[in-house]
Amino acid sequence: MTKMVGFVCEWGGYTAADLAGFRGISYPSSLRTIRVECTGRVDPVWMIDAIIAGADGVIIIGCPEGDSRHEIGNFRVHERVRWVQKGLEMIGEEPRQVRTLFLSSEDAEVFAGKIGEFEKDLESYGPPARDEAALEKLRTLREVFAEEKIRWLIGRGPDMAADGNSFGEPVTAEEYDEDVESILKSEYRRISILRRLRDEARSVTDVALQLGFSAREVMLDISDLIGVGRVAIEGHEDPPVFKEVLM
Amino acid sequence: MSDEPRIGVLLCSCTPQMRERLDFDEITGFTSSIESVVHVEKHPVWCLAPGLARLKEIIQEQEIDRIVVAGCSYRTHKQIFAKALEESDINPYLLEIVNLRDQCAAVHPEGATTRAKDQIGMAVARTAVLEPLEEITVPAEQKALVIGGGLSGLIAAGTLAEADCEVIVVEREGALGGYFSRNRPWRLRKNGQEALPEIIAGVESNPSIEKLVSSRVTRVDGRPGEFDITIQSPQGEMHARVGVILVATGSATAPAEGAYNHDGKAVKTQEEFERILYSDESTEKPLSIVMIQCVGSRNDERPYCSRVCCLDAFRNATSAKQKWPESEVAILFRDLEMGCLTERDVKHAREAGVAFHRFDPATPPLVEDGKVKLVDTMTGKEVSIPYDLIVLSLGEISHEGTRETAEILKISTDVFGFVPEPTIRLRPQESAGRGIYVTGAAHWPITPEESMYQAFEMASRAATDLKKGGFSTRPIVAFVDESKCIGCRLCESMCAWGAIRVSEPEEGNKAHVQEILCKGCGTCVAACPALAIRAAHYSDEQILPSIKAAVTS
Repeated sequence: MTKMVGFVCEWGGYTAADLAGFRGISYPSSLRTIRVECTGRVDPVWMIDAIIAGADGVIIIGCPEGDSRHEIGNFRVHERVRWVQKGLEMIGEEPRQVRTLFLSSEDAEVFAGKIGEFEKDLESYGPPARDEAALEKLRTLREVFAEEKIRWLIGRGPDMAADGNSFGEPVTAEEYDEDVESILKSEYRRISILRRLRDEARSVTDVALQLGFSAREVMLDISDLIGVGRVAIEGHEDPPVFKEVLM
Repeated sequence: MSDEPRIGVLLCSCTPQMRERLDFDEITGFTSSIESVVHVEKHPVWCLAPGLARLKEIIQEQEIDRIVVAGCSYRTHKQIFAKALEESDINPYLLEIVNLRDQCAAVHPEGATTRAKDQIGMAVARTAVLEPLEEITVPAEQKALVIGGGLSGLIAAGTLAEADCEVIVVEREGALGGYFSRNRPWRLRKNGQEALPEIIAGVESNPSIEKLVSSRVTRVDGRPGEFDITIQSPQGEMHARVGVILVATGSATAPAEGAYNHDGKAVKTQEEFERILYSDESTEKPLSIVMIQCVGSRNDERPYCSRVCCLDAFRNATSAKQKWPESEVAILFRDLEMGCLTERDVKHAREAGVAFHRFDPATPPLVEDGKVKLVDTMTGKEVSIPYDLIVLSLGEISHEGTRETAEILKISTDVFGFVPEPTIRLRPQESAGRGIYVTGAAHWPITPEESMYQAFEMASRAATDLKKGGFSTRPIVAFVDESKCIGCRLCESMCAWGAIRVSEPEEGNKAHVQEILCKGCGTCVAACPALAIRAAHYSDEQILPSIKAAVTS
């Protein structure tokens, strides 16, 4: 059976779900809801956690745009979902398995209809591959979304078009998207490397072979990671081996 | 009590649908098998007195220290069970509610039991790691600041002083009284014109009201109950601590900006016209007066209706007819917005013989060869009125003091610079932020009468909050782990409530949460790049178990 995890805000999603019950409007019973104060609380990491745990789809249901109980929470989560979708696409997953639904607390019909639609869509994507390789990719992506750099960029994004970057230069939406996409890729590579160096000390060639990156890329990333104190040289034999520094 | 959580699960079966679609034996069996659950019990109605009494019994018998209620909505029933827990000396935040009725039985003809089991499993997993929380209370300084010494501000100050509060009134102009005293006393009715000097004198002579004229509030720090304010006065910079702030900064009449070749002589604004109309010294004696409504107003740039200008025109037109009986007065309008209690003004204007012509905004009145020309949409005929005086009704705009004050207090304004009530239909007159109350035309253009009602109301709200001794909020707020905070300020831009601020670099460059302002939405928590913020009651550790339990069965 398809499993959908829904993060619902107390004011929009949860209330609409209550009203669906009150009006007796049925929708698929494969939905499992988790109540939060505001969808602004929904962390990108949670979305990926739900997929790793076995959810086929994640839906974040909050107040309508411009009418959030908490003013801007829903707008922030929309941006996070957009980047989680891009991340999923990057690792070969179906991006639309994570989506948002913004509705007013009185939209019980919309709530029920969209849940039905989501279940159908998920069924049409077919059962997702959840072998060890796919899970490893998801776990890596989860770590990427717990990293300072990506979280900062996603958080700053909507304001950057208005305020410009740290140097005050204007940034268009297209430039921003292009930059974050390339950073998402490089962060994913860094975290993949870091994960390889977590349990065992490995050489650059070893990591490069395992991950399918060029040795040069891996070498540059490892020296960066050494620079920020997250990787250390473990053995000076030939070739030298590296290991993650646990914080 | 042991360290291991001892969870009691209450299953409710009040509706026929629940009894029909939910297999309670299966649910009970599943729930009992969860490790931290020590007791599962079904009852037809847990939320009524017999059910609640039974709950207290089983808490005693089974040494239960937290509960999951599977029955009705969290929104409607959390208070009932929280109270029952408190009466049994259990922290009310050690409670989770699963909506079996509306979110399982009523919506799933098939599969309701499976969903119910999962949702209960998720709630139990979360409840096992919930933490006791205590309500957050902060004391309040028994002093109020009123920004703006106009009609609304003065009434508010007087009302607060009557309620035994110390008050500071800050007025930017050189004297108290505001717009009605300085510019347009005639906008008040006759009894209002007589009352205003008394109101001013009452505040002037009141020893518990400190009056600061030619002064401005330049900075506000702190939190509700303890606002630290900086005032720039002619005596220099002053500091004070107040518990509440009332904003009574009013509105202003829009400038004419050369509309209809406004020159202040043959083309006047209503304000300029009032000066000759109500003055005994003026020798001007216009014979044909044409008033044009909605000038520069209700257009794309300023789409709202100012609500007070029609009333001004009616009263001034009637007065003009009375002062100069031989003169002709016409009002050219688009729509008449007269507000309540104005039927008398309409009647007087008609009796006095004021002429009315309605025009279409697409073809506004034209002035040519000493005549005002328009097509009257009520008759469909072209009208041409010779004039010797045109009077423009210009509409109201927000006062620059309102915009400045809103910025200093970090309360949101609409695009026109007014401070509207947050949810006008459901919670009219709710304060703009905790401890901050807005009254009068700072909200929106309103009549003096409405302004007075609001002043009394907001002052009594402020006094009520002060007299309670402090402000309190539920403990669902964000906490910053300073050791992890990198001072990036992203949280500041995320917070819609101004509740989280990063200190200056010399003070540590760390985020601090003003708990009394925090609404617990968690937007900053989910955005924090350093994972340094934790949300009470909705922390990662309290949500992740639910996520896992949602998909494991």
